[in-house]
Amino acid sequence: MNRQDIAQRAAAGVVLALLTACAPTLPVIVKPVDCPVPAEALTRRCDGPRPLPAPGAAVSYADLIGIGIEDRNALRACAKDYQYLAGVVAECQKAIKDYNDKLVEINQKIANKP
Amino acid sequence: MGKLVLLIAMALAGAAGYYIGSWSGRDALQALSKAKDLGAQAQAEHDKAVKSLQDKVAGMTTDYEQGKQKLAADHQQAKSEFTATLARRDERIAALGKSNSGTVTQLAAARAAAANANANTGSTPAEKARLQADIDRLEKEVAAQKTLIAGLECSKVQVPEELLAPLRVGSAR
Repeated sequence: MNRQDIAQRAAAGVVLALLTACAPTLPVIVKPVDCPVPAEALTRRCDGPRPLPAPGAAVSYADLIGIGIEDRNALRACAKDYQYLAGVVAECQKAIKDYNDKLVEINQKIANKP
Repeated sequence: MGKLVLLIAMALAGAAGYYIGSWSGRDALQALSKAKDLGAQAQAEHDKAVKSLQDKVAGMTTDYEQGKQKLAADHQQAKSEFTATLARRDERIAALGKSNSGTVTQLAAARAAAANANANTGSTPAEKARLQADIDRLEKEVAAQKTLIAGLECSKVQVPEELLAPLRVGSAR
């Protein structure tokens, strides 16, 4: 390869580099919509019922009411956690569906002749 | 001279090529431009969807956290009240017993008055009805106090194992 060849290839390279700068940039239409559920909401677990004293141990009706108070509180907290998660997932599903419908609509417009 | 003609011919050919090329590429350019616009539109839709979803989830998270805080506060209060009720249980039973004795005395007096009114031909039906209403009210009061005392006493009683057994179902032994 002589010096002239090298010069020609270098010039061609510069021209190509300049031409690419003129090319329009098209956004890629594949961005997903993420579901922003807080991580701690996914790791939270419901408490089970409190254990009763072993058989034979004295348990009064007042003790049983005390256990019932704790269990009912745990159940209410669990129901709240579940309602929150189910609500967020439902919102996410709706948002993703709406967004996907828009994408289908836009893709249809691209497919149509100008 | 020949070279000049050749150069002019090359320039004309180049111009013609550019014109023809630009003409045939017009559709492609238009499609490209449209795709660019629609791409921007898709990006805007994405940003809108993400923002709207984030706002909704943030609102739900705030409501949820407030609800959980209220639940914890209510639970704490209920537990304190229950503990206080148990601590004052004997005192309360004694007070209720004293009050019940007074009500029982009032009931006996009301019954005696009613018996007297029934024996006395001078008593009006309205007077008899009023005395009977007093008896009914006091009887209900005595019964309610007795139930309350029995309930508070019962809270101290040990639960039989056969009543506890169904609550043990599903728990590890």
